[in-house]
Amino acid sequence: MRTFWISVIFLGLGGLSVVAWSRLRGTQPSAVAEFAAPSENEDDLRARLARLEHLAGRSVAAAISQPSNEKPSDKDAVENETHAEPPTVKSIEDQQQEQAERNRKETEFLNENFAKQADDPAWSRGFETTLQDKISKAFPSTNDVQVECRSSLCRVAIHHVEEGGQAAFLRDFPNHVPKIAAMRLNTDGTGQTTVHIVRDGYPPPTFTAESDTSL
Amino acid sequence: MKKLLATLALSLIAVPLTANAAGEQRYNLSMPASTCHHTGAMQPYAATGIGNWTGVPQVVSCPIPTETDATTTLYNTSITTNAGVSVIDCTLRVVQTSLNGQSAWVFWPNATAQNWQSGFGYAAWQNITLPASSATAITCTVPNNQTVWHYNARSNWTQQI
Repeated sequence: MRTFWISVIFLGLGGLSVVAWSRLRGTQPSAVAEFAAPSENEDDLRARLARLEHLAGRSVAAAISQPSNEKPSDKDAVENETHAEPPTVKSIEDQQQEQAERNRKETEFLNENFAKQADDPAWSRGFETTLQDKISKAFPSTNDVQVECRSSLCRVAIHHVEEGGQAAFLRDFPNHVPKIAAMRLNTDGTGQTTVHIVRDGYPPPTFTAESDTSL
Repeated sequence: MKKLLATLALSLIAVPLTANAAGEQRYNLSMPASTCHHTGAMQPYAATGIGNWTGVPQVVSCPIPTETDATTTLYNTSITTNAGVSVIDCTLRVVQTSLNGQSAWVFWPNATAQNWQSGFGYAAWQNITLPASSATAITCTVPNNQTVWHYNARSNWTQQI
């Protein structure tokens, strides 16, 4: 009797397994199809076909230069997204060129700030002498040095003749300046170094996109 | 059960203790002066300090690790020297170099405290905002025959991720 009931249980489990397997096998293909091809009814397909025909009738240039007044639909957004250009990655050369242009503009910005400043002779004449002395002592081979100070900014221009002179100046000059708030060192690739020095206690002029009037 | 507890303990250790929900990270660093850069033949002293017996003044520069990818705020930076080193000659220097290396800004923020207490020199800077791609260091001029026997730089900074 015990053997009979065990046989019944096993047969029942086997039957259930067969039913479950057959159901899974039957539903799997349709599930895959559902993911692979989203259901589209006939109206959707007609609407998309009409849209494609409409776009084909307009030149690309016209489509770009004469934006439609029609409010883009969600469908348009999806199509635009599908055909969007992949984001471009700037090359190292382009980035360096941009940085060089930014450097040039920032130098111009500081030169303009300096040119606009009124003179404060009580401070500027003495500080000019101090800077000249520091440079001549620390960099004795440098002889073409122009130093000019106004009320809170100084501008130092040095033309380096000696090989390696510019690198040594850029490396060591910050260690030889008297107490100041900030300085900006700039090289232009011609052996010329321009230094803008901000007087102690004064904020440095801030170069931002708004500062760049050429944009 | 032991394995489960070990896994749980490891996962707790891996959680950064200083990160908060706002995406800020705080660091509180204390570094011995013996790790600083220096000119001349200065010598480490008493494990953490560095001394100048070279016969001429030397310069010690202690780099402060910061995150270069984002703007960082140094809430409190300080340095401790012995009384023989004038803390007035200690400066915090921030250098921001352009990507192509053609230009560089150098900033010297003003110290908020410079004093001598119980034979120690102490200088501090507070709330310094550092631009991206910048390097920061505390630099001190160490006179001849002076020993910086306890020279620490502490920074406590927060960075928005």
